[in-house]
Amino acid sequence: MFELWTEKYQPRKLRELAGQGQAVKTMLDWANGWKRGRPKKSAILLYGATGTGKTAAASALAHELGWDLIELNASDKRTLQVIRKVAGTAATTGTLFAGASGKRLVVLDEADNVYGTTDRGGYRAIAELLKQTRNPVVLIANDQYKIPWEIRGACLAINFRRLTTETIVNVLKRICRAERVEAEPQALRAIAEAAKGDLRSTINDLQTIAMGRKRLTARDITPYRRDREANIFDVLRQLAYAKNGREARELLWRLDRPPDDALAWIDENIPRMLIEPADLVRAYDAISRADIFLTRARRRRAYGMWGYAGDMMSAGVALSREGKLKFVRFQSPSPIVRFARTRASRGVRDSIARKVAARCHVSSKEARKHYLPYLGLILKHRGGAGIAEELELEDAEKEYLVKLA
Amino acid sequence: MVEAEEIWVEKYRPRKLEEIVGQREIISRLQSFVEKKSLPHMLFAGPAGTGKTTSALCIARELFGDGWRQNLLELNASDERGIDTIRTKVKDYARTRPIGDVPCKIILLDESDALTSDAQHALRRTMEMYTRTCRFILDCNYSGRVIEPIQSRCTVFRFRRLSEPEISRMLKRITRGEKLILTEGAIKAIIYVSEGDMRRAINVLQAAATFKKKVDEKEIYEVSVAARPEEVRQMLELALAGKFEEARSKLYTLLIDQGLAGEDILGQVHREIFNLNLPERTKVELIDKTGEFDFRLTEGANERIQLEAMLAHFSLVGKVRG
Repeated sequence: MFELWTEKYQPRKLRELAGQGQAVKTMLDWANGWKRGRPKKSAILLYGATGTGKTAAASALAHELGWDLIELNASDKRTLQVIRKVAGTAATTGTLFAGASGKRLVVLDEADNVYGTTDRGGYRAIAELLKQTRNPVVLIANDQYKIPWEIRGACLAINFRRLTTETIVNVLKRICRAERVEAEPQALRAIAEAAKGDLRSTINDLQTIAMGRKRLTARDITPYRRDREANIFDVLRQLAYAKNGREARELLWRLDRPPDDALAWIDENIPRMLIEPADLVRAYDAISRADIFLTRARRRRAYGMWGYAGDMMSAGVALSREGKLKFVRFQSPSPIVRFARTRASRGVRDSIARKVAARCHVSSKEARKHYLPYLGLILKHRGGAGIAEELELEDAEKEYLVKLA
Repeated sequence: MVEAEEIWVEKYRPRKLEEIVGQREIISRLQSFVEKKSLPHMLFAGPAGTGKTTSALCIARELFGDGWRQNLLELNASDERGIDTIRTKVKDYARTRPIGDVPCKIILLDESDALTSDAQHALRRTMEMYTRTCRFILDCNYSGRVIEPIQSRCTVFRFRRLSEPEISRMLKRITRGEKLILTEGAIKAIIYVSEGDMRRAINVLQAAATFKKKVDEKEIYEVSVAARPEEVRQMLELALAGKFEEARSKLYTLLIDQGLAGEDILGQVHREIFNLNLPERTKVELIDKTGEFDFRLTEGANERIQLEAMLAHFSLVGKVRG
């Protein structure tokens, strides 16, 4: 009796597919081409964001034209052998029931995430398939550029756009009518906006929220905001305001990030919201303790410590606050940003340090500390040509040192 | 002005044990080892720039003569990633016989106190395995950070900070060699800023000599200020003034852009605390806190997070003061 609405309301016909008019037209033209024999491109590549209807479109297409559907998941190792088999048999012959005139639609999902990428065996198999097939093939991917160009070039690429909020709201309305749920337009709008063009997740959200309800109001929606990556900011904000430990801890779970990553985000943002230095000290003491638990987990492979780390960085930080909060713009952890920005100059610095280390019987860490500042001064004032030669310094390295002084 | 043709620390690094300045008792014992061509494993402990590495290099030169480089393996605990790399290198090196008519090979492991205690136990086993062909000289800043079993297998030599006359003697040697003029004030200034660290003394002198051939104390202080940025102090002042975010940003500059190690920053913080304009009792509290965060770093905690937490304490103190 429990049926997923995403399946229950999956389009059976291509024209039922929401919001992808252009893509649908291109697909139909290509499919009709197969009636006159093998078209120039034996395959189409459907690419675009998650939940925009790519897989649904592929199965609607098969259904509409009366083709059998062979669905394969390209990231699965077993599928590779199947691809080879399909390339050798199914893709080149007719179907059992309809004879030689019947077609099979071969659908390869997750084509941007193929098993065996390192040896390229996976993509070789797909390339073979495209070359030999006498049956239509559909490749499905989120990111078309992850697919090698020789495969991409053999396909007719069709883009699936993110759906507009309007389109999504219309689908939700239709489902609500069919399910006899009375929904406020603002409520549906709120659900749709949170999903950022992903219809599948929106329908899932709607089903979750509507379960056991006959009426949906905007107020019902707020606690169910979908957590996606962008919403790390929401979680951080709620964490800063959290009033009890359990709530804080559950917020952290919703983040669904590795603990050291979560800690970096919390460390970057929450302290900036605090106004009182006493709050700051308590918050940082909690962050510091969380870090220590993470260290112990890592060093001793005692991953049970992660639980304590998580509680300290969520509940510990949230409950350290007594004073007020101020509004700040959240940002990604700045050391990450800085590391990226300074990578080049750190590379130069480390290469100088290694040269000094080799010449002066010290570690590169000591070289950085005990030699680099002085070398900078020497090069700045005198050119230090002899030393630069002695250490075999490159121009970029000399520049770095001069700037250091 | 003087042509900066070579790194003076290397140019004037003693080639023979007898040329080494200071550490008289240690040197004479090392000389007798060399005479008898018989070395124990040794642990050289002491602050930076007091002659540990130089002594080891001199031993190798005197014992091995021209082929000294082939019979000496220099390793660095902080650069060689992990004990496994060290072990592999030692194994490969120790497998072959010494080159020439020499009693043994020498493996010089610098910064051996940077190894974790697990790694040190592994090192101890490695040391025992190659005792027939190799002698180990371990350098460290603090012998206490080296595990007992290693210490008990080594003859421990404690190098002390160099005295004023000792540093001054070396400086004069360089002045003659480079045809410099060094005022008395400059010598005093170098001694003051170098804190008994010969390497720093020589580096400061060389950098100062690039300004002028006649070096006065003014040049020395200029160099030592330029070489030791005020940024740690600025960072603390910002925190004390309640500008936590700016202080934190300063911290990132030090850690990331300049690549200072967390423990070095904490070391400077520690030195600065008594210079800050704070009630004496507060200073002691801050030293206690700083020590705690330093300890957390030694346990492997994240430098950035722990130093931020330390800055938070400074900002609280600042608020109370203000």
